[in-house]
Amino acid sequence: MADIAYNFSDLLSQDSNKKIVVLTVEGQLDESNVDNFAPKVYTKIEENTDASFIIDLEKVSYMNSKSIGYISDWYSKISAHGNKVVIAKAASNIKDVLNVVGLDKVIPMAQTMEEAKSLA
Amino acid sequence: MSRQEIEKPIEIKIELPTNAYFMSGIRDFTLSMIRNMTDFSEQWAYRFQSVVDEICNNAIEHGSSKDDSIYITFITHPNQDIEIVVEDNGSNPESLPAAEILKKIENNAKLEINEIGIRGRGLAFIVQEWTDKLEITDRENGGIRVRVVKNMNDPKFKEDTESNDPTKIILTN
Repeated sequence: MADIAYNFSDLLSQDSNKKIVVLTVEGQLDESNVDNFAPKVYTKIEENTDASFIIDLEKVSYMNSKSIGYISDWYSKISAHGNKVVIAKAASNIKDVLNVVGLDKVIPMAQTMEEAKSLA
Repeated sequence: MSRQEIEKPIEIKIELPTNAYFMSGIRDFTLSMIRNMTDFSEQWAYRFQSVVDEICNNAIEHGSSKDDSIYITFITHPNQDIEIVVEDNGSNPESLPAAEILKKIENNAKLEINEIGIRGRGLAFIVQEWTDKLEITDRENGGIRVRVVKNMNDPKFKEDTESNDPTKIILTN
């Protein structure tokens, strides 16, 4: 089974004092773990309907299509509350797979956390 | 023996219990095999890791039942292509025939990213986009056979070696 670790932290956006939740993920997101991980994010989204989300993928080395499907679904729920989602610091192989399924068309990708904060 | 001395096709077969628990090992093997046994770039090594994972996940989820197996075959034709075949036994109660899977892929490929559910992007986008040939056929004794081929000298693609950025692909005619 692929190992995964995650963490949620709160911060304020630079200009509007709007709340941002940062989801930091580490490891490989695949069929063996993503269904157990995803409900934690849904709960966090429901607890923070006033917040935008930054998903920090710097330490993610693999993502399968289902984990991308979950991100797309989280985006739908967060944007339905009028908030934003930004993906931050994804490695080149992760950006590649996000691009091939078209996620980059709906969720902005930031190279740095500062850039992510400015987009959230 | 160095890779340059290998001229005959090499075939590697793996029988895997129907459990996603083992897929991280198969991904590691795929990455290592592409790096060490083919001339594909690092970019394509990662892409094939995803291709194999997605096809196997489909076989695990919809093909063979939990106490059964799936079968993965890697065939490298030096300086020509790499071929990957994944077969299941169709013992899963939710098993679908090849025609229905092909129809689902065709339908999903037409949808926008936010129109697809949690599932449905693997075969329709990742596998279809990153291979030159995708064949799905019914097996004689049940289950399906998914065969993909990626040509090593695909004229459509030229790697951006300057930036080595796998998100950049230069299309040439």
